[in-house]
This record gives sequence, structure tokens and C-alpha cells, in this order.
Amino acid sequence: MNRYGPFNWIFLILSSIVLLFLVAPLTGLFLHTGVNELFETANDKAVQESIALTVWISFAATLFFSIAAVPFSWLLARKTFYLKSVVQGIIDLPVVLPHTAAGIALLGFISRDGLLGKAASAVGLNLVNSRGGIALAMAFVSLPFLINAARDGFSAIPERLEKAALNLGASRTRVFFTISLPLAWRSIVTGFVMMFARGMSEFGAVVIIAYHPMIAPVLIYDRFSSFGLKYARPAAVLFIIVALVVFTILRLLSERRKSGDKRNDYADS
Amino acid sequence: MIYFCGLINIQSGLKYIAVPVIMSLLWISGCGSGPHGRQVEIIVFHAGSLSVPFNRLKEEYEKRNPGIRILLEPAGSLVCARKITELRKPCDIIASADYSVINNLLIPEYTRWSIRFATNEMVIAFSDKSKYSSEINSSNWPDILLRDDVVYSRSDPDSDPCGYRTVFTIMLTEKLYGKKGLTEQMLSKNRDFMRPKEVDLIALIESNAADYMFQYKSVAVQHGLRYIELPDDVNLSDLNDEQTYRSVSFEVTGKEPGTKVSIRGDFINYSISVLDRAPERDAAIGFVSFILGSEGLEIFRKSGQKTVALLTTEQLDLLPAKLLKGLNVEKLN
Amino acid sequence: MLILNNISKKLGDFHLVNINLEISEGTYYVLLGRSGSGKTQLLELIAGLNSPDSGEIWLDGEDITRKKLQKRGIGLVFQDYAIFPNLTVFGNIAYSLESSSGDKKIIKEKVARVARELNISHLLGRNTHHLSGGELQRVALARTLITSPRLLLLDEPMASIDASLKDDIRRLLRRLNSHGLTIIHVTHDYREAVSLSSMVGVIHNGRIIQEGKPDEVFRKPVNKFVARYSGIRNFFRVKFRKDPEEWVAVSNSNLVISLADGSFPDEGLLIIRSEDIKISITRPDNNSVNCFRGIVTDILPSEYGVEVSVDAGETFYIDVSADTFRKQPLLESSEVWISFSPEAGVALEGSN
Repeated sequence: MNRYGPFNWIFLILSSIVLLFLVAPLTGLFLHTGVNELFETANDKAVQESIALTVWISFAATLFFSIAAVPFSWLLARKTFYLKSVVQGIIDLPVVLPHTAAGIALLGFISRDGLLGKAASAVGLNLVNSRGGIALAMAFVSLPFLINAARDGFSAIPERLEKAALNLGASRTRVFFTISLPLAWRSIVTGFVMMFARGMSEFGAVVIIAYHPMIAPVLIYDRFSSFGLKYARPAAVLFIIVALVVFTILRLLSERRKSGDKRNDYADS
Repeated sequence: MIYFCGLINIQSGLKYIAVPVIMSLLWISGCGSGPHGRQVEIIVFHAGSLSVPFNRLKEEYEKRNPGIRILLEPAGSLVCARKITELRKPCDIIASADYSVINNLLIPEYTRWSIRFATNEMVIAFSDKSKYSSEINSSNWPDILLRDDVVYSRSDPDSDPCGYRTVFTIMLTEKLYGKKGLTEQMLSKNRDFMRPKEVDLIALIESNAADYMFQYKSVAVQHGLRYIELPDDVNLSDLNDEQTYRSVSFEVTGKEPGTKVSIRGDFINYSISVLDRAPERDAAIGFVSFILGSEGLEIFRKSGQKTVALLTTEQLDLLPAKLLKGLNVEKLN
Repeated sequence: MLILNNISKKLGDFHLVNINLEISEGTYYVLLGRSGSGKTQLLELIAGLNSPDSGEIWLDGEDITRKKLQKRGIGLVFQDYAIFPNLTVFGNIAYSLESSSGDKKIIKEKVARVARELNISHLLGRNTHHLSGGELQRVALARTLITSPRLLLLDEPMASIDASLKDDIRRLLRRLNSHGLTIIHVTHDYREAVSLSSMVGVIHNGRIIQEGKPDEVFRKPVNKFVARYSGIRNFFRVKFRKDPEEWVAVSNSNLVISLADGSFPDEGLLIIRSEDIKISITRPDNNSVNCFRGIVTDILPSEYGVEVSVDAGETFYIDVSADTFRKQPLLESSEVWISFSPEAGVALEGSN
């Protein structure tokens, strides 16, 4: 007697196909890269700097923008207003925009003739070819992930809880920090990780804004186009390994942060 | 105490994020680029085929000049120009695989001169794994490349000089060696294997996705690929065959989408210039005089690229003083 | 101490219309109405979670219509308690104290005191996830009471309480009210009104349709809806006439019911409370009026014992206590006698 009926088998097979599809190209990449090349590349200062730069800029950009994005998400979750669906559409736009187009749009905005660029040069900053510009490009293409995840997290919290807190005398700010934010925390962290990850991997938009300083995606492409596959693969593999480590750590930290016991938060992702 | 774990107040929450936020802000804002006073950064837009020699030039120059950093940005020559004219990206030096790109697109608004310094040769490159690699030679290549089971690749004439040079080579072969219909057949074959710039083709050969590619000899040498040489009258490398080369022409995308511009065959001429509005003009001129000096040109040759016997320019009187002094440049008519 | 003047509010499909209330200090006011009648919305308006479209709210002589809700001094306990899942029981109760006095020791003492009063001291360190409905309610009450509110609003406090615990909660609420706390208790269950209230208001479709002491409202409902809310199940469409000296009501099935003296319209509704009807297997011997023979059509268990449906020309619903039923069980389809005094019948005008 087969314990697992056809239903289970079909699902298993389909899942395996998907998993294989995701894992196979990466495995191929890893297998094609020699250990020597990997070590050499790992010791290459330019590669080290590039990977560190990529991780750091995306992290900082995500952190920086989350300060404004999270309250915005709360508004989206709680308030209805005229043209709300248009605003929602605008938020989702960067995901659908071809990366080069996004880069060109951003360039217009931050170059010396553009709105932000003018303001920046007034304080002596040039955003093009700078880490700040890269951060903006990364944030532009990845913000929707954070906003949508945080918004869903806040929506899942019954408004009653916030009302109860208000009734107990807390100011709106206090309610936000002591009730809304903690309860939506899981979703917000997920959104954060997604935005961080997406930013880190951005190429098309960043390369228009800044070829140098070189973030890892640009480095890999540069090595590929100047010197070929053999030179590019080890850098790619190294980057993947670092990304994996960073995200695993992030996940572990976020699970631990909200004290040990299993809670069925309202905002369970 | 368990009681107080339940009290999550604002203060502890803010503390957690305040520090990294402030750090990141400081760090990011401290990194607007521009002259730091510490390091001078020279931005070079260059053709993909110049990657290897330019990387070596960069290494050498930075060793001798510790306060200087060279930032290299390879791209198809036309894309290099467009980054300047349309995206207005900051750039100090442009090195193009075709002098006409600089002449037509950048002079006189962005720079007033360019110096021709290197040349190249069209070859057909391949690897041991390519089909019929043991058979192919400089006379039978049209037949082999046209075979159904053979995949050949070339770069896009609309974005890369190597692309339209490939077309010229094919056209000249048809004309001079009586291969009627060769151009039409070749141009319609394997269109999916066309790539934006010549160095993108390398990956196709290395991964055996394509058997043959039209490529610059220097690139084939730099990547250790096998290649067959082509006759001088079609490989665009011989100055003496200039008239022959000029007998063919081809249309590529003009300045505006939808418009076409006709270009004539010519021998391969790399040229270099420093932009008028270069952020680090003086330092850039210094680097260019190194590139065009005897040591610089030697690096090109060691990288498998032929340099011209004489540096030439059409705008002799417009060259910066430093270059005129240090180099021997001849005027071209 | 609480006056509502012409309060109206439109909320989507829903309207509160011209609500006028006056509640004096120390009252236990039960607002009775079905779900959808607007009772929760009214509570939220009083607490300040929403503001009315028109009208005023006065508390202790002060116009609080536009006052910030955090400063009103009104406590609201939601229907599902709205306990904060991310805080412990202690954290929940102490929540209101966080913004004011910062001294940890004082907070601890205050919380301990309230917890003692509500018998939840043993829960203070716990997480809120596995608490029962009754425990959750006590936590909700504790966290509200610790603010020493002038007025306590309760939204369906009995809704999630096991029947066996309802007595405890009722006792608790009565105790709070007896210490002087004004309470507005919203519910759909008239029995809560009967056992706790000193004033009852019936709300229907966004309007208050009757208000007064529980006795008045339940014995003399002004219309069918109030009657329904009061849990009255015996309604008959009747014609009233004097026959010859005494008033009677004649139902559609020609059942003649004697009534106590009073003024009656030509026709209308007659209501009789289930607990006013007696039921027996044998014919009552005295010559009481309103004695009818009928067949038992249904016997359903109810909170008080059983509810017996008897067809005596019209269908009557009679409450029988568990004890009585045990001593004298009734069987379906058996013949019984029902009787009630003339005072039991209450007339309502028309069909409304």
C-alpha cells in the first residue's frame, strides 16, 4: 500500500523540478571554478573591496530609506485616500522598469543639471560616480519590496489594537513604536532583507550612474567583458558565497531578536 | 526579569537603529566623488578591445604615480561616445577603436583633437573545439562558415566598430575574390549570435556556444585563441590598401533612432583624446603622454596589438602643448 | 455625568442618528441592540476613537466632543479584548503607565495592586497567547482600570465567556459599579441588562428607541423591536375589545385572552413574557382565567433549563427551570395546560 498517493508524488516531482532549476546553474558555476582561481580571486584586493562595498552600500541604503519607507507603509496600510491605487501603482513601478531605463531616469535626477544633483552640488557633493549615487540606484529598484512587505505586515495588525493603545493614553508615536512596529516586525525584516538583496544584485541601473566605484555586479561584468569567462566566474562564485553568508546571518539575527518563544504574531509571514 | 522584557519602550528601540543609521549617513555622504585632495582619479572610456593593454598601462602608471587612480570603463566605442554626449557622464579620456567616432560625434563640442595611435587586423578566431577547426584556412573560410552546422558570431555594427569592420571584410572578400552573394548570405546567417561588442563574443567561443568569430587579432592573441589570418586587402590593417578599403560602404544607425548613416570602409585606426571638460584635465594629459610615449606603445605591442609607425592627427595645431612637446605627432590631411 | 446631544455619524452604509443620552454618575447603563445596530460605533465615539458628524459629548460638564481621546479619562474594553500580543500580561497592564510616571518600582506596585483586585496576580509574567477568554478579559479590565477612568465602556463583555464563568464576571462588574464606577455595557443579550443594569437603552438601526429602568423597558416595550431585544418570544397579532366589562385580546386563531385594565387600541400586538406562563400536566383547579389546553410541540434545552413550545391555538414559549423539569418531565406531543394572569399580557400598538 503506497502511503503517498499520486497527489503527493506529483507535488514532490514539481517541487524537485523547481529546486533543480534553481540549483543546477549555480552548481554548474561552482563546479566550473577551480579552487585555485577562487583563492586567487579571494586575495585580489579589488575583488575584496568591491564585494565589501556592494554589501555595505546596499545595507546602508536599505537602512537609510527604511526610516522613511516604514512610516509610509503604515500610512498605506491604515489610511485610504483619493488616488491611493495610483500611488500603489507608482510604488510598484521600479520593479517593472527595465534597469537601464531606471538608471537613465535616475541619472537625469542626480546629475548636476538635475533636481537632486543641483542641491547636492550646492553642498559640494557630486552624486554621479559616487557611493551615494550607487546607493540611490540600488534603493530605487528595490524599495517596492520593503514598502509592500511592511505594508502587508501593518495591514495584518487589527486596527483595534492600535485603538486600544490610544485609549490607554499613548500618543500616536508611542503606539507606532510600541505596538504597530513590534507586531509588524517580521514582515518588515523580510522586506528589509529583500530590499537589501535586490539592491546588492543591481547592475543595469547602477552601471549607468557609476561604473566606478565598482560594485560586485559591475566587477563581474567588467572582468567578463575585458577578460572573459574564466576571469569572471571566480568573482561571481565569491560574491554568491558572501551573499549567502550575509543573509543567513541576517535571518538568524532577526529570528533571535524578538525573544525566544514561538509567538504567533499577527504578522507571521 | 520577565516582567520587564514585556516593556518595550521607545528608547531601546531607537538606540538600536540610531547608531548604524548615523554611521551609514556619514559614510555615504562623505563619498560624493570629486577631487578629494587625496587621490586624483582619471576616468577613461575605452573600447573593449583595448581592455588588456589599458589594464597594463593602468598598473604601470599607478605604480609610478601613487597619487593617481585610473578608472577604466570599457564599452563599445559608440556607447563610449554616447555616454559623453547623451548621458553627460564625467570623462577625462576617450580611446576609441575608430577615429571617426571621436571625429564625428565628439569634435568639436566635447573635444577638439584626437591622435591616432594604434591599429589592428581582422581575423577569424576559434578554439580547438570548433567544428572543422582542423580544416579551416584563409581561403576556404567562407564555405566553412556558411555550412549549416557551423555557428559564427560577430558584433553589432550599430554599436561597435568591430561590427561594421566585419561587414567590410566580408564585402571586400565578396568583391575581390569573386564570392558572389557572400555578404547577403553571411549577414542573414546566425543573427542570434550577434553581440553588442567584440569582447562579448569571446564568451561564446570559450563556452563553445559558437564555433567562429570575427575578431581583432589583438583580442584573439590576448585570450589565447586560435585564429586564421586574412589577406591584407580584406583585413583592414594595411595603410597601403586604403583605397581598396574605401571602395565598400555600409549603413548603420545614425545619431537619431530611425536614421541611417553610411560609413565607408577604412583601415583600422584607434584614436585617443582628452575631453575639453575633463574633470582632471592636466592629469589626463599626463597619462595620455605616457600612453603615447615609447613605453606606453611598447605595452600595446607586448599585448599583441600593433601600433602605428607614426602618431597622426588631423588637428595638429589644436593639440595641448604638453603633448606637442613630448611626442612626435604628424599632421594628417 | 455623560451627556450625548444629538450625536449623528455616518460610517459607510451605516448611520447613527440623533442619539441623545444622559447618564448620571454611578449608573450601570446597558445599551441593548443587535449586531449592526450601532452600539460599538457609539462606544467608539464616546471614547474618542471617532468623531461625530454632528452633536456634542459632555463629560462632567466639559465639552469633550473635540477633546483628544488620550485625555478623556474614558476606558474602553473591546469585544475581543485587544490584548497586545507582543507584551506580557504585566506589560499590557502597565502600558498606560509607561508614558507618565517612569519609576519602575511605582509601576510594579500599581500593577500588582490591580492584578490582585482582579485575581490575576499569578498571570503577570505570562505571555498572552494561551490565556482563556475569562483571563484575557480580566487582563483587559485591569489594564483599563489602572488608568482610574471616570467612565468604563464595555463592548459585549460576555461574548467570549463560558457560561460557567458568566456569574463570576457579573459579580466582578457589579462590584466595580458599586464602588462608584459609571459603566456603559453594550450587549445583545437582555439577560445581562436584567441582572446588571440600573438603566437600559435599546438601540436599533442607529437610533435609541427606548430608554429607562430595566423594569419599564422590559415590561412595557414600546415596540416590537424592543420587545424582541428583551427576549420576549410570545407575540400575537390580536384585536382588542371590551367583553363586556373586561378587556380581552382575540388572536387570529380566536384564542381569547383576558387582560388587566388599561387602554387598548383596536388592534395590535400582544406580548407575554415566557416566565410569566405556568405550565402543568393537569388542569389547574381554580377558576383562573387564561387557562388553555395545548400540545407540547418542542422541548429545547435553554440556559435556565428548558424552553417548551406549546400549541394552544397559538404557539406559546414557556421557560421551565431545570429543577422543575426534572421533578415533572414533559413529553413531546403530550397534553398540557398553560396559564397566566391577565397582567402578563402587554399590548403594543400596530405592527410596529
